[in-house]
Amino acid sequence: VIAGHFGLAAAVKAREPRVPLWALMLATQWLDVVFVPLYLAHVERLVPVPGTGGGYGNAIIHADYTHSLVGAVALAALFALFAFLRWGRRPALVLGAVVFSHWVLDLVVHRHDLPLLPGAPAGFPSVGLGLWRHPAAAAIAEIALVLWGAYSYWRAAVATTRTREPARLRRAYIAAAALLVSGLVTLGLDLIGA
Amino acid sequence: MNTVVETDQKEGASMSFFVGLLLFVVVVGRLDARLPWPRPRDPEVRS
Repeated sequence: VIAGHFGLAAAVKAREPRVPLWALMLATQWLDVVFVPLYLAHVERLVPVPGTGGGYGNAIIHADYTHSLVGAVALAALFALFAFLRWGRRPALVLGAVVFSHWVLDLVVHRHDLPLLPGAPAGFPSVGLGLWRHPAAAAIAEIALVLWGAYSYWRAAVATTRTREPARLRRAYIAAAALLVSGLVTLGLDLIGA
Repeated sequence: MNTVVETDQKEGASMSFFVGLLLFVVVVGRLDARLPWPRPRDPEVRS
């Protein structure tokens, strides 16, 4: 899931307009952002499902730190701390929850590759509901998240701008259109494995 | 062969991830910042 995370963050923006959108977008991918340097350092890995060529829905992640349950909570707390120092309590709570939502969405689609504890110690199960075994269903769910997020954002952006600065309503339409296009482009790239 | 497949798969995931991050955090984030949203520390108005 990549575009779906962004879609969820856009929907959160509609409900929590005080939280900057860029921070929501960064928060929703924070686990994957931290995954990148660990991947480059060969600490965490991403491999194709055996018997497949990889591609959308056919990956198994060995991210025993960033994508473990406890690791996700710790990364959410770290992000929330940054947000608290910069913006105060409410944005911190929202952004921490958005960071953790990444793990919850991943739980739905991943196979049993999300550990509970950092380092995936032996004897502790890994979890995942495995929607990726049905790539079409996963793709539909992800499209739904993108459309829901874009629609929610569009409604909130237009309503807020119309109330506060109606002369700049065009900016709201442009931002909402850019958000929708970005979601579709991201999802398209993910689906074709480009 | 496995190495090639793994690399291709990772590159595919990487491109959509990084393009998505660029589009949403930088491009859409900047467009959104021009809108008159309430600021994070603005007092909440209750109706």
